[in-house]
Amino acid sequence: MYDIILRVHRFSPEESQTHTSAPNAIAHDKSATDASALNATAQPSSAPTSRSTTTDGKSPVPRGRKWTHDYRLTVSEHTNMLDCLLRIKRTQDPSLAFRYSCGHGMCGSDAVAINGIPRLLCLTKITTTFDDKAAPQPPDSTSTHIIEVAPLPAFPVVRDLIVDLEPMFSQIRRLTPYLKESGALRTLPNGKVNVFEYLQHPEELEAFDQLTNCIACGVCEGACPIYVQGTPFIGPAAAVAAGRFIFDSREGATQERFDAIDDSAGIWPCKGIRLCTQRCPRGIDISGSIWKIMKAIKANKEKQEFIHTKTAA
Amino acid sequence: MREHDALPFEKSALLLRATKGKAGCETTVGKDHSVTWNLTLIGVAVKGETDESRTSRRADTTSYLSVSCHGTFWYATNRSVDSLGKAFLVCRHTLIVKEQLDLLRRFPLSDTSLAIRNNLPRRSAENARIVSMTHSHLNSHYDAVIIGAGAAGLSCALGLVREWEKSQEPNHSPEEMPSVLVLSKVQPLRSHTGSAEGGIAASLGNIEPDNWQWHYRDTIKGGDWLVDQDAAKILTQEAPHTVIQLEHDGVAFSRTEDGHIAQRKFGGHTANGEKPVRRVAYAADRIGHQILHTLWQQCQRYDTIHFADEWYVTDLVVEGLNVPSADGDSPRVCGIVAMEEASGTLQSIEAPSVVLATGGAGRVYHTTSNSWDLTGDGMALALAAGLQLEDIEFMQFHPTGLAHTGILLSEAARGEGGVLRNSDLEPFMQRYAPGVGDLAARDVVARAIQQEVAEGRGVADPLTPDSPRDCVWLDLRSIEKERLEEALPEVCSTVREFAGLDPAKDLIPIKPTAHYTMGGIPVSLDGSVYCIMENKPKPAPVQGLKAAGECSCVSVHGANRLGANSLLDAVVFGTRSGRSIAETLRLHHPLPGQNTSAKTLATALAARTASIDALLSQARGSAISTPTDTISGDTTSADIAHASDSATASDNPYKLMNDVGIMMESHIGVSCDATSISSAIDQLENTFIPRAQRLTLHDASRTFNQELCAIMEARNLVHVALAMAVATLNRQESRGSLYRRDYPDRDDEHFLSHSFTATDGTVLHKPVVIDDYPPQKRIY
Repeated sequence: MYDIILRVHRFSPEESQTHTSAPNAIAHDKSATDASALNATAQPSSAPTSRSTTTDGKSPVPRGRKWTHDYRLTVSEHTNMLDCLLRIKRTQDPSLAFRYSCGHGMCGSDAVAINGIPRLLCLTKITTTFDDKAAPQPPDSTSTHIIEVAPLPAFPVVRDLIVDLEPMFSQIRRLTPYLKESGALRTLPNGKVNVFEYLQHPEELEAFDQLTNCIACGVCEGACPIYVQGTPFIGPAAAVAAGRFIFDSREGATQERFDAIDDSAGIWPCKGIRLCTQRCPRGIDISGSIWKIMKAIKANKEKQEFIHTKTAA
Repeated sequence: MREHDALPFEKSALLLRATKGKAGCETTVGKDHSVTWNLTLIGVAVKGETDESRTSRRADTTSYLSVSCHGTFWYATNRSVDSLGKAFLVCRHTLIVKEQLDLLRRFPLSDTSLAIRNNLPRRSAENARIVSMTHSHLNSHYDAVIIGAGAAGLSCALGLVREWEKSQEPNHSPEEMPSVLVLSKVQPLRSHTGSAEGGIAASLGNIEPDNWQWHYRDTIKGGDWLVDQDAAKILTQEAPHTVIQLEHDGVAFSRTEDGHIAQRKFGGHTANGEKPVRRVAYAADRIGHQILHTLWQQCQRYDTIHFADEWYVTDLVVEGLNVPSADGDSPRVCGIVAMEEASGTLQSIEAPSVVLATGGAGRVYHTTSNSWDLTGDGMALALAAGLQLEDIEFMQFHPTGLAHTGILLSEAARGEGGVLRNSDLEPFMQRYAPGVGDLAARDVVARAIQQEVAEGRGVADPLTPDSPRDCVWLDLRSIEKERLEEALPEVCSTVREFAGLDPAKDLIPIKPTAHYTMGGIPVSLDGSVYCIMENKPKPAPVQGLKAAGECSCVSVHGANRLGANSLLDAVVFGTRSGRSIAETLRLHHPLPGQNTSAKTLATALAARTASIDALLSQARGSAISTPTDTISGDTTSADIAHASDSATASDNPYKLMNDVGIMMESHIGVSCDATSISSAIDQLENTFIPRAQRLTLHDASRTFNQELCAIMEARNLVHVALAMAVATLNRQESRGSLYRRDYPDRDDEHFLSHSFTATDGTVLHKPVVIDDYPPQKRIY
């Protein structure tokens, strides 16, 4: 059993409607102040944990309130981070907001930054976080471990650990993420044409199969320093979505797909940092795939130029 | 086209003007271009915050602007920005330049202005599409509203638009396309379809001879003859075509050496009832993920399929049942009331067609393979609207849930050669089902495991050696290591990740886990929802209301579903529902107006608004306990103890759903009897339903107030649980997944019929459709 403290970054946006009644709002503020005061007492040396926006009370619309909240738990070594947060919801604080669904790494809902590293809550065992370099140090030499949980970087925070992933999804959608089948039918060894499924040999499947594993969790985007910085870039998740079709032997619109990402704000800002590959919970070699896409684009260009010169000649 | 892409932006500039309490943007565009900006400002982060932490910017501001003008224009947010230095402005744009362009831009701002570089993502007009429904109000009317975006919901949307396209003249204009809204309480790619592992059954015969009649008969036998045979015939006849359509849509099926879709063996699928047959098409062990993503991707082709992600449907509005209809006795759907999770705003949507495709109710049980979202919302919506649930007493327990997590280890594990062993390491399934052994139907295996455990041959989860010996071993060691990794990657990683074991070397502890709700909202072969009334032989359809997938019951699964038939059911009958809506729209477009709809919807919206406002206004400002509270132990009993001492004040929906699950598991689990069922009903009626009604919020904010949704989910869950318990008590026999210790045999004389359970506890019956195969004893 381990004693742990989950230091959760929280954010409560200001709401423009006047739905929230004033007394409740005040009570809530007070509780947060208590919590941060408590944290501050516990760790006098650490930075202030409450980062609430200061308002003079007259300001019509403050942006919202940020603070960190420490939750103490005693858990077994096999517990994962999602178990911890769900237990907090059940037994300590039902108001803590975070996305989760399947609980075993298939739905892609629960990407957050744990000790600064983008990961899925359900696939992160508490014990694996203890060795993180960025793990906050406990105030004294107690055996308590502190685990910092923050929203996924690179995306706007909506509430607590919930971010708006719409930038990623609209990038993916923009790349027309559906098979534009070439419709090519293949001849069978016996000489007949197969009119049923598009035949695809296992090695052709191999060329893109890994990319179909993407669950669009956004971990790669949060891990990519280039994307996080705000550089115009389609981002690793959209690159995976593009590659999934580019390398599919059934695809008929590869040229169109090359054009869509062959751009200084397309795939080229990638500098091969490889953090996306390192963090991908599905084990996709994102960086390697991006490199392959770049290579394919270059090869395609050379081919086009060659044809062009030949025709011109 | 390309010209328009570039021009306005080359000459335009975006300025972020900030004064205390207000931020604004200004832009200039080329004079010759009429430009409409739809700008959604989704975040402003100011220097100081961005520099200080590795978590990068915090965007705090949300605002929605829509400006249409000519030349220079200016817009402002209603949000304050305290200071302005180097800032990031994160915007989502929809720019309309003659053709419609949808652009996403993220750009840094230095000081107060930035010229937008001419490197915008390009998009052709053909694919142009205004997509983002997030953070926006929906229209008040759609031709069809689909609730749920898993395999059934997405298939329905595709079936609808494709059927419509097919029936149109070649040169029709896109305006004529019906508008379809797909609402989902999670982003569609999060749907639980994505967790389906094993495969999708179809008699393609790619590897060995097979035909649909064999599949048909296996499905009926698997369902213990409670299957409506007309439905099962459609399911199995349409299966090969359906799988090939999925392949054409892009599903990356595993392949045979010659490039065909590969097929594997699966429990209960046989060649002429004799030996296991390779019938199940698969994509390693993540077929659900493949199908879900492919269907969502295909939906992106169509401008007329709109998505409303993270909207929770609070009410299904039906006239003529609970609410009297103005024009006679035929019940009719008016529309829905839904809440946007991100903003907490409620909206009513009128639609002549509404499809429920919300999935199952596995969360009624504590140990379940289902995601946290499967709280039976669609079923509860139907019950609340005055409809019935068919055969809801049949819950399938999947034999191989990973011990104490309930996470599913695919049946493919046994299809590939995995063997179940008891504490003596005996491969006991050979005793229970000679011949098919480990590939017997799921209920047979689940009960065999329970029998082994009851007779003292169970094992304890090695992670918690002191826990009860309620598991058995799954042995994958006989599968060649390379094949294991290739064919069962998800199983292997789940075992490694969640049990810390090596499937190639270690025995894996498994126990039955609640997996699939065979019963659900009664539907006919085209997905139309109906109810039956006492003394009326003819079912009464609810005009405009459809259901598909796990939340529905067209009764192809009967009393027990065969593996790999659930994805098939969702896609086949989802598509059929969609097609049938398209057909109705084509014949009556627009559908005959019902002027009472608006009024009924407005009443429902007002009632729901009042109830949610009441919850929010009662919300306490603080969490139930201080942050220093220590919760010890990993057991759920600690949670219950915690609940009892702090009573109502500390109750919350998460705790409630947990407690309901534990109760249901012990009382109406793999086996039950009248005493345990009656006790469950008593607890639901006298403890859990009142508790659900008393739940209050712990936070008053509207933005992603998850607890608010969870309260509604908990209230749905208890009512579905009650319907299950009532239906179970009513069925005095053992059939398929339902095993009653007090009635251990099947009783065709009295119970070869479907049950229809309403929320008031009345249970009616309807005979099973038997076309080809009269009931026989189900032996494997």
